[in-house]
Amino acid sequence: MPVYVRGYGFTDVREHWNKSMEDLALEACIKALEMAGLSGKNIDKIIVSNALGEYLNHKGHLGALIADTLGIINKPAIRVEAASASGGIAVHQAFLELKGETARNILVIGVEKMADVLPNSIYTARSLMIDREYLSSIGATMEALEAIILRLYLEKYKAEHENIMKLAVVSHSNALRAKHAQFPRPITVDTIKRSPYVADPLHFFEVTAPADGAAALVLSNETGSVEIVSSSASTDRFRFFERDDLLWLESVYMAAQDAYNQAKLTHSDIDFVELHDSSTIMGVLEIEALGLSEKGAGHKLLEKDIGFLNSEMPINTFGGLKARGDPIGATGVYQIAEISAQLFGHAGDNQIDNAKTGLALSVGGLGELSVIHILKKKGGF
Amino acid sequence: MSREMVPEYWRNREMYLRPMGSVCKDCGSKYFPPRKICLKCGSKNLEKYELSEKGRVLSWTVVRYPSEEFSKYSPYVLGLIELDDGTRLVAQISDVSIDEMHIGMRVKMMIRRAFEEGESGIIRYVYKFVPDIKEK
Repeated sequence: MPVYVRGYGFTDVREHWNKSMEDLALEACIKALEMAGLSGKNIDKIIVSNALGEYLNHKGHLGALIADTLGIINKPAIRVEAASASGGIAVHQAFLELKGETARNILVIGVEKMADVLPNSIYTARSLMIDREYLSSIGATMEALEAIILRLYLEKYKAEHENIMKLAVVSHSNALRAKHAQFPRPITVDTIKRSPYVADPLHFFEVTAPADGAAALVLSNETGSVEIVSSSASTDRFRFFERDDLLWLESVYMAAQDAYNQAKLTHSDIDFVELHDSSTIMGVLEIEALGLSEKGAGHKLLEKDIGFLNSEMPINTFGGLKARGDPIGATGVYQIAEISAQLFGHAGDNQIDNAKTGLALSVGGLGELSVIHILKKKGGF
Repeated sequence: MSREMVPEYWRNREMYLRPMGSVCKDCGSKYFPPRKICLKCGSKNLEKYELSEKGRVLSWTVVRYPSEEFSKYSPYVLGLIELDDGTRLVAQISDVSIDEMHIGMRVKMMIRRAFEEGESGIIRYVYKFVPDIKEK
């Protein structure tokens, strides 16, 4: 039984000082339900994706909390947490239930409220996504490990750092006219180089900023014009330093191979991609593991000015994590909503031509868990 | 988090003060951190082994925006280190200026202060590395 996106909705990604986590979730859900033409009564199950609510907001038990906010009582509601892959894994769980026909319509809500705390709490919060005993408790942070990987990549592949920075330039360019994007303004390689280091040699403008936002999907096995043709998840060794190849995201590769098989297609059939660019270097490693470039050659692909909306392979069509913004637990749900917007033809100024097949990649931490979805316009290929 | 988590530290005291790896007695695979189940052959027959105390820097960074526990120590150098027995780990590198840092730098393991747990909590110590001057 096919699984469809029946409706989607999202809030702007920014600092929402006057809105709570519940307010944001409600706003996104009302839009998704209206588009689907359904009310809360038609929803069989609610799946909430949130990564850091306990730490950032002192809020837990988010399945029942958000269900109550929506006025949907007497239905099952769960919350999933998988670090920065929470959104991807929430959609994956909904997909499995709809395939298994244990539900007909599931509401998936990704929400994260990050701006209520001071910046140093954000670094602590992100550190929850890496191993406690062998990494964060000895002084490692997400950004520091991304910087270590970046330096290793520059050394091993003799890559120009400027080419890796271009991924952020592409994302900002694609966000210019995206109404919900956190940073709808252009940046250049020079701007990035002039931004301070967050962790040498990784610059501030190569990583994401704290953001508030919520995105919602009504997924259904009854009807819809955009189909989720693949949903696949895979893990890797939890501490990246144990991996045989420190510059290879095996979880992305395994999930991608499975997703391509499920949809009976290859990477060359994909029209556009939403990467999990938590940093420029992670985006480059993802390009390689998805098969969009040879291993070690992602930086060379970026040298050729790929990724822009009007290019052969648009990447991050509303700005991706870098420029649309990265409300962590909501991000993976935004990706599916944005791919749906492209396939429904609702992408406005960001609409890409002949958008038929899109891929979303949601990555937890440094590739400890990766989730891939491929969406297709019904009747299109 | 400036919470006190003494039991966490106490459980791991051996690991933080004298890190050990584990080796599978059935297939010989070596692991750090130590594992209880061998990834390669599935055996539960593993025993601890002592890691080399010297190695070289594979990559490094400067942590300028640490988590709250480390806020008063930044900036500090964090390295990805390959020990002479092939084990890789991440640790802070002390007694070094940023200008001296380079890939391939020889380092040796020491015990140094990690951080203090709040106002009244314990002082935690952990393995760090310093330049191995004799081999410079």
